[in-house]
Amino acid sequence: MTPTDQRLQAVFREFFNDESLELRDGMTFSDIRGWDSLAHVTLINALEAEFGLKFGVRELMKMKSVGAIRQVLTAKASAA
Amino acid sequence: MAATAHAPAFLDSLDDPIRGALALQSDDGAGEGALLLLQDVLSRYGSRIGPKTMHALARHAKSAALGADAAVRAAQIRAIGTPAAQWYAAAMLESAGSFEAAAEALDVMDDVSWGEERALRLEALARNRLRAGDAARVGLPLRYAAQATQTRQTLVSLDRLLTQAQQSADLPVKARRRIAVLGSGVLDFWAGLLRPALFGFDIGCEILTGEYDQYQQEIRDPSSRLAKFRPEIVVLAVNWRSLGLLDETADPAATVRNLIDGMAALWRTCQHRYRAAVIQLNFEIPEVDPLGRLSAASPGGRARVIHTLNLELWDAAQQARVAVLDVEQLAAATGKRNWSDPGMWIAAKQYPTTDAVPLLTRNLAALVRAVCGLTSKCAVLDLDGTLWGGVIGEDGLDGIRLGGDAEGEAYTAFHQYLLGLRRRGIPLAVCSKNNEDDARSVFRRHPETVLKEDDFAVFLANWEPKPDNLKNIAAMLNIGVDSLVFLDDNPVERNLVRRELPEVEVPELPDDPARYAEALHATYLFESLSLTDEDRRRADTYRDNVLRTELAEGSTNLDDYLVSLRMKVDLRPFDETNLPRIVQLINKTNQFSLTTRRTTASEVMAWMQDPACYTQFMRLQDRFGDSGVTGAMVAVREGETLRIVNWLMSCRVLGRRIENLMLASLIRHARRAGVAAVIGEYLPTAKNGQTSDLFDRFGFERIEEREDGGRLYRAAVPAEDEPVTWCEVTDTTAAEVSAV
Repeated sequence: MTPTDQRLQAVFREFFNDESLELRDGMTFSDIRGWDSLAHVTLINALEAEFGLKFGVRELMKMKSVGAIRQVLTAKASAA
Repeated sequence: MAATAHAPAFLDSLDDPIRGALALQSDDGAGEGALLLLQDVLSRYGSRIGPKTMHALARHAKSAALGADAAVRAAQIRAIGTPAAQWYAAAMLESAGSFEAAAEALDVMDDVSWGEERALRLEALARNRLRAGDAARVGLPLRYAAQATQTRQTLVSLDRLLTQAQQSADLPVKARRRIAVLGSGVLDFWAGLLRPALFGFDIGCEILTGEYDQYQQEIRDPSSRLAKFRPEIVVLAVNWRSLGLLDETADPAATVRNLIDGMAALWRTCQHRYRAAVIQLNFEIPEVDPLGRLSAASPGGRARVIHTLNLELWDAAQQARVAVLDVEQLAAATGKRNWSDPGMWIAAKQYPTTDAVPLLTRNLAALVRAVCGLTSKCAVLDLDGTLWGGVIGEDGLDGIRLGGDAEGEAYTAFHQYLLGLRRRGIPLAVCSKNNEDDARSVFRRHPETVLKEDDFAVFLANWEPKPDNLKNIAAMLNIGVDSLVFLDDNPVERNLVRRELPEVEVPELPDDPARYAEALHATYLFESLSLTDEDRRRADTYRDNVLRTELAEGSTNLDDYLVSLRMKVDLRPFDETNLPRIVQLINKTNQFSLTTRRTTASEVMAWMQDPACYTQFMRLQDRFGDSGVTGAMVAVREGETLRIVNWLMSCRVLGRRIENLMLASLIRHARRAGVAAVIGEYLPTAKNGQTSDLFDRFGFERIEEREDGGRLYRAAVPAEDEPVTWCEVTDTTAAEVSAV
């Protein structure tokens, strides 16, 4: 796990209040209890706060799975 | 990289050395070297930590707690003594399942600061107590955490803890309300977080969150979810985008009028159909506009129209007894670029942003608190370090810092703010460990003092414990201890008062005296619905009462004393002019209150129009001043009887036999209206014990006694009035006498 992956996992665990959560790239809304469209928005807010960045609308449209979120985060991090 | 026993020098150059060290550790595993590094870092950099560091430490501690010797290592780390080490040790204990030990560590840990860090500690304390099965002691840390937090994330955690705690224990609150939040945008992003925000003000609630942009239908449709919910408070949170304003409006005056009329129609429905109090959010003036700054200059520009709308909204709302939440001000305070995010609006209809939620919900909760009549009533002030720099008993008049230089002027600026509170009717009191003469000398003789001796309603400078003094202050002002706000720069005193008297509000004060006013303001404890003339006079009234007490102590009997006050009592039916004050009085009065039935302005207006209703308010003046409207009574005709459903008097006018006059006036009306008997009712509360035998004292007969302590009384209407010799009474409440 890269440090980014660890932080991502920590945000998910804290956000969904589930310490046993193990992230996999293929996970989408239906794989995590409580991950609905409303929670998704505030999850994105939490990621923005954790990583100190803002996502644009194009990125928001992509970030619908754990894998896609990782991809966007990695791209953002290398662009910074 | 090799294990390092001591923190490498480069950590010094990082903004956040602790997080830097934790990042090193993740490469390093959890060997002995890693532990030594951690201990060194916690000791060296751990005296002040921010919320991000606290989150990072807690995460790290979770992975470190997996070993069997977690308790031993936690004790080792805790012994380092810095807040960071204590926090880390508590997180280890929690992960190892030692919730009680974790709670104990968090309870004694010093706060790193008075903002989010404090909220995180208290949240963790509440969580560990809850997990340790101690739900009954979760309420206070939850309440303080909700007052302190500045993030939505923590509010969400607090909401979760609150819900869990309420399942296993009854967390007492001062009031409960059903609140509907309706409006535009996706309200679910913040409406539910009113729950923890309100709990921070000791108020419980049930929240109904309106559907996206459905507020018009929800209010108008008598079979809507809203109707079934029976809201006691309706919050209308419509954002500026839903106003449908063009960049330039052709007829701005008509547009504003139409918008206000539309809102007023919704208010009326809420007030009449649900008897609900209404809170209307006003409108942000967006920064981004094609007209640029000219949007505010050109007559139909959107910015100018919203400016006008907001101004006219204050007036329309005041007339309709609706409370306005100043969103434009909140957006400005947050910074408009942080208040809203164009991407999040477009993608998710989120408004305002996550960052804005704590300020919004806290302000809304403060307004709900005012609607519940729970506005705090008195500011109690420590002296040394709070109203001036230094210690008067040691530094003397010439040595303390008050005016003169930047530090001294920070204190005089705080004096100005407090004087402003006093002018709007919040009495000030002193509670300080000092020799009284030393303490008073500052307000008598210091050339720079803004506050003067007679600005204080009560002045207690002595060496008694502060909780005792606070109880005395409340007793002398005849208000509840829970109406006090205590300001002290010394955290030890603050914590002592919180421990001994949890009902007193004790805001955190920052180190910098220049920020005292801001810190006090941001508690919103003195937010009220309206400012009446009575409010503006009240601080004087409290002070005058202390003078009256002195006069009373000099008089040999009550009659002489009452005559010497030269009272004038005016009894009149409720009217429009005095309506805000009457509603305020009915909702705030606790002690001399027979039934303590709270009400809304719309309900009171309904009574005023109902011919079967008798209404009376009381206004009192005496040689010391005008106490204003300080009593109210409502009675309902039921056949041959007249039943008193509400009767209350402000604690400021008690002990002066005014109750006799109010009752005599009702009886006079009853006689003229041909009523045979008056029915009285007493409903006990935690605070109205002094009225429990009031009707007995007036010779009423008990006709019903209920299990809950409630009683009904009856008295026949006598043929004649008793003469009043000890004051001057004007009474216009009685029914017209039919020509005799």
